[in-house]
Amino acid sequence: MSDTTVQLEVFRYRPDNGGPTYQSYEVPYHDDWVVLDALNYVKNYIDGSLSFRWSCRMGVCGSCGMQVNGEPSLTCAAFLRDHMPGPIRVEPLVNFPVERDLVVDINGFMEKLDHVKPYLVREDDDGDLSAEYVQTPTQLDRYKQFSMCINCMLCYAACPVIGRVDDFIGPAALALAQRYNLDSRDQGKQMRQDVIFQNEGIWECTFVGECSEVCPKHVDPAGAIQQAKLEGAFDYYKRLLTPWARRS
Amino acid sequence: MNRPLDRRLGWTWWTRNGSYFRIFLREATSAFILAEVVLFMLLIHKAGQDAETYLAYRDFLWHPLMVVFHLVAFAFALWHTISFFLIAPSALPSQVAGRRIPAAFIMGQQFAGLAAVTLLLFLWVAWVGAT
Ligand code: SF4
Ligand code: FES
Repeated sequence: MSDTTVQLEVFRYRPDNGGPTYQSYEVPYHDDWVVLDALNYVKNYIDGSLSFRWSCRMGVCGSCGMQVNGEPSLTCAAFLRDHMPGPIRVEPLVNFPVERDLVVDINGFMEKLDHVKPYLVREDDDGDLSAEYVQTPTQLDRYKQFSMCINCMLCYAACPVIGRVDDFIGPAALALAQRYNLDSRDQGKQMRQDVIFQNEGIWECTFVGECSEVCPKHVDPAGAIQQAKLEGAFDYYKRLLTPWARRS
Repeated sequence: MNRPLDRRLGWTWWTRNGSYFRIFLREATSAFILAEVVLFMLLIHKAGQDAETYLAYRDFLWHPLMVVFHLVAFAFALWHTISFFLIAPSALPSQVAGRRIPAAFIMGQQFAGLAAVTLLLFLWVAWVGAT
């Protein structure tokens, strides 16, 4: 056990128990501990009533996102040593409704993901599950970066547009739409464009760029959205100038 | 019953931290650019009137306070331009005809373009001044 400690200031909210408060906990400091380790220490040894989500502890599942000293972060990747001497303030991700303590309601996010059809759509799909759709490394390279998303929602917490416009589809879902639109095996682009070109889609984004800054997987959702805008504008003018061409 | 707590950033988002504030300021630079465009259009308008009106307006533009304003507007315009150039690569498709385009190449092209246009304008102004 280490002899140094660090102070955690944790956001507490119990809906049946009045407004939110901050509660301080003194936890042991270890060089190789992340904020999630400290929260688990609190839960196991100090206060079992503290609620938070986590699962993989290795930056893969995307469930441990919280505000660490005001920055949207994966708590399993946020080392205590980077926030010393403390105190370290841990809050639920902003822009999401808080259910309890550090747990936010992700239903809105899940619905937005669903809107953009984040899966391969085939027009010629005749239910043959053994069909193979071959892809070259170059074709893979076009969308690979956008496919690294772990749905951690840090980008939604960093986005000021999400903070004002409830229905904005948002960075991760729009990046995912672009990921499938760029996939040579996919045929659902038109269906997705109808969603992402509407008012709550790409045009709501003002390229603040903070989503890409906080993304732990370097997805660059801001880039994906700007690319979609460029493509959208290009398609619009193409249709305007060649009205006889069929809408593809 | 459950009452989820609302923690949206809201309209004051840009006061939350330094990087939000910088983005806000970067967007606000367009107000200065707009002001300079209006001043320039007025200059053209005055040039079509008598010499006295034109000279009076030109003196106004050269007033020390106005010169400070032009310099601030110029600094903001440069900042806006450079930050725009730096983020441009992520806004463009990563491949053209199956080949990856290096970000440095896209940025370099833009700076080279800006330098070329600036040089041409300088030469043109110098040529007009000499004739
Ligand atoms: S784009 Fe990045 S920040 Fe946003 S949900 Fe995906 S992994 Fe998280
Ligand atoms: S616990 Fe899975 S990403 Fe942090």
